[in-house]
Amino acid sequence: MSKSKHMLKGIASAILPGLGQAFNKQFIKAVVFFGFFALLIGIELGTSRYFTDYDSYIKMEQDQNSGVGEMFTDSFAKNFYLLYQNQVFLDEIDPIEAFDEFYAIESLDADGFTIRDLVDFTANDIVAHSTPRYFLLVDDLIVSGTTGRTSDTGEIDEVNDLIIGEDDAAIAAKDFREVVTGMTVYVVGGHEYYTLTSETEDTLFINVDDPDDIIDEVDDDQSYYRTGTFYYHPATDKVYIECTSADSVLSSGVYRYTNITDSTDFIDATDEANDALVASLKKLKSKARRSSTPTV
Amino acid sequence: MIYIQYVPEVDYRKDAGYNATEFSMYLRNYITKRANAATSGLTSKNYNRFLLEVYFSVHPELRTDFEENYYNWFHDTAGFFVKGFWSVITLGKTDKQYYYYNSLHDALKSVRFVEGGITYTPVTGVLDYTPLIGHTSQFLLISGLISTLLFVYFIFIWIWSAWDAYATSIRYAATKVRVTDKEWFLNVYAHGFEYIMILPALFVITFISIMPIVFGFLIAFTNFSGFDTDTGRFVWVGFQNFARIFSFGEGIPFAETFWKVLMWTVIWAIASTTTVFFGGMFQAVVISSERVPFKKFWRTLLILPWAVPALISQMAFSIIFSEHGVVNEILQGIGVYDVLNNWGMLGVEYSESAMTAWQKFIWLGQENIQWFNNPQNEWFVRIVLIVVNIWLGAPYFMALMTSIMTSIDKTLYEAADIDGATPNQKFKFITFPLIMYSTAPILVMTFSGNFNNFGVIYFITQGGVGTGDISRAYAGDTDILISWMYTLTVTKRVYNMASVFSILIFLLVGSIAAWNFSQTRAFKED
Repeated sequence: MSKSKHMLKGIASAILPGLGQAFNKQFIKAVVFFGFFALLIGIELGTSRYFTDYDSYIKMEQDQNSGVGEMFTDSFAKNFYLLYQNQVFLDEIDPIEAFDEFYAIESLDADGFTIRDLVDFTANDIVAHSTPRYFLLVDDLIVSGTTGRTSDTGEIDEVNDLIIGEDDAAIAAKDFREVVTGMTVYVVGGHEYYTLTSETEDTLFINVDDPDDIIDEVDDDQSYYRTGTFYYHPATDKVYIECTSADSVLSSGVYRYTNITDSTDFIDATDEANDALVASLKKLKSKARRSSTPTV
Repeated sequence: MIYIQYVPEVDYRKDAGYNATEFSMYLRNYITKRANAATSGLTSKNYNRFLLEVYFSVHPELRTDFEENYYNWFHDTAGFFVKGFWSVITLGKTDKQYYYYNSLHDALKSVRFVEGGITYTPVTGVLDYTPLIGHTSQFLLISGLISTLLFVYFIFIWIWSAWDAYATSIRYAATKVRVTDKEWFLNVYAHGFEYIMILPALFVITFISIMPIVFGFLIAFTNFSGFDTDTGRFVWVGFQNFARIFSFGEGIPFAETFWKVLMWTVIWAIASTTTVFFGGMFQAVVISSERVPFKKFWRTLLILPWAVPALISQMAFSIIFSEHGVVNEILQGIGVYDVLNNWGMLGVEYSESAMTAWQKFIWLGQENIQWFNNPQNEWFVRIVLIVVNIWLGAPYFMALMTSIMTSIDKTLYEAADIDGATPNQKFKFITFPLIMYSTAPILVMTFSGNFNNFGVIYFITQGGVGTGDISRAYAGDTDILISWMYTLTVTKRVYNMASVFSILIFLLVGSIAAWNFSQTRAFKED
């Protein structure tokens, strides 16, 4: 008998355990070896998802920590449009032109107006109304609860607004300086200075009005905290930043109002003579002010 | 002119947030109305999904990244073995990811509103962001090792199967006798009985013993260090961690600290072993002297420290020798402090520049003697530790040597007496060599034990001054390698370096132990 026949039986079992034994007519042994092989394959297949659909979205929905569930269906989008159309027809709401245009195009697709189309339109719509830009503080803020021309609508003031990405040259030319907020400041020569720890761990003091004016020591007799709250004085068209000082461990009171463009100009809030002036200040509120800092 | 900078998002994080629009308000109210309908089944989870989808449409690059990376074929679709191989090789591919869509909240978050006289309540539980857990390398490595080791068993059976088919065929060709299945199984049982018996134990040991050892070993070749990698991803770095032992002056000073700690560990192991060994021998010789009365009483008394659980006595020492502890009170009370003050060992303010080396060497503390927490005089603390350890370790050797001494043949001493030997000579030429002969292997094992004597170091000094200080790679003054590793893993989670050190300890102590065993007669006769 040729040697290759023995080899072939070995190879047969190497490919499928038990097969070579079957050729040797040892069937029980073949079943035992094949049983182990079947167990190996069984474990592999049983713990896998080879035969089910799975992707990032399904995985996210199944993840208990994600807090995310199933997406609305396409019929949700269609029902939404039907209600919208109905309300427009009954004059309950004004038509939204951009949406109508978008729908006119997307609904002619093979798949019609899908939830993905609705999501895409919503995203584009929001982004279009949220142009990153610089806008005039006093113009656009809500003054004492009365809405002026506000940024909240996303409306762009073509004359005064500087749009990031479009008017970059004009923005650079303005050479903006951020207003210092949320810092303890020290007074030296009438100017306020805030502290910064340099890379070499030295404490530096920087003039809030002039970032190039850096000194390394202050007489810290007079220090107080610049808050992030701004006040507008209509008569002089000045904007002040509220500064507080600790009255005791537990409470702090308004110490003074500093002009945000010039820290030598301030209203002493502790002086009763200024009470009338302080009362005429109007608190500024702005959506954008939440985290963006006014820039002089 | 004063401008406000308005930027909705910076680096995908909310800055000012996106503005609400006419359409977005209409849409969010529509969804809120749907959610208010009792039959809708619409939950905050659906709402979060909606916000996330809009967020993805605002940032298509995030959507692409999410679709490509969050789901991974090997991690999520493949079965136990394929996933296991992939895990061990790659240690995971996807990082944790947070999608912050709270920048959309002004525009799209569900709010309370009134329409047609009906008040609609907002959908509650809307999130600011969606956290997505990526791949956790730690778990992947463990499960990968389990599946790989299990696979090795299957591979063994597979190869056996091939070899058996080949061998059976050859035998049949040669003998023309077909071995029946029953004969074959009986044959396997008869010839492989010991292997069959040992197999279940081996199988269990593979997963409860070999797997953890391999895991701990492999950690040394990763950057598994710090709290991020504890719950997230780490990668293979080859021998980088071993190279760090020799790279001085880079990052956390593991190199400098390692050699310092290793030196102290070796000194500690040698000093504590010799003091304990000869301390025990001294006690044994004294007690066994014929002139000592009440031998049993003394023996019982001296064995007591060994009988008390070591942890208790170590804690007790820690308290007794604390800065305001009993020892200091007594020393102060009997006037030892005054003497020390006169000698300049106490009461002097420590100064790096003004003191001489001798003054620094004898400095015990400023107000009180700082036995275990002396920040300036680390060798003082170390010597105290070695002395305290005598009390804890000597009784064992005393008991051991007493029994050895009683078993020494009395005729040897009688012969020595006849030859006119002095007691010193009897000790030098009979007692000492016989004791050493029986205890030398134990001496070497005690060295290995003290090399890893975590209890004495950690429970008495907690590693000493400077433990957990990053500028000294978290090692305290009295830390030996094993207690340093404790700090590294349990509190600082620098697993990779700890694993490197454990491998080095294994090599060092293991080779000493192996050498020791190879010298013993029992091993040679095996």
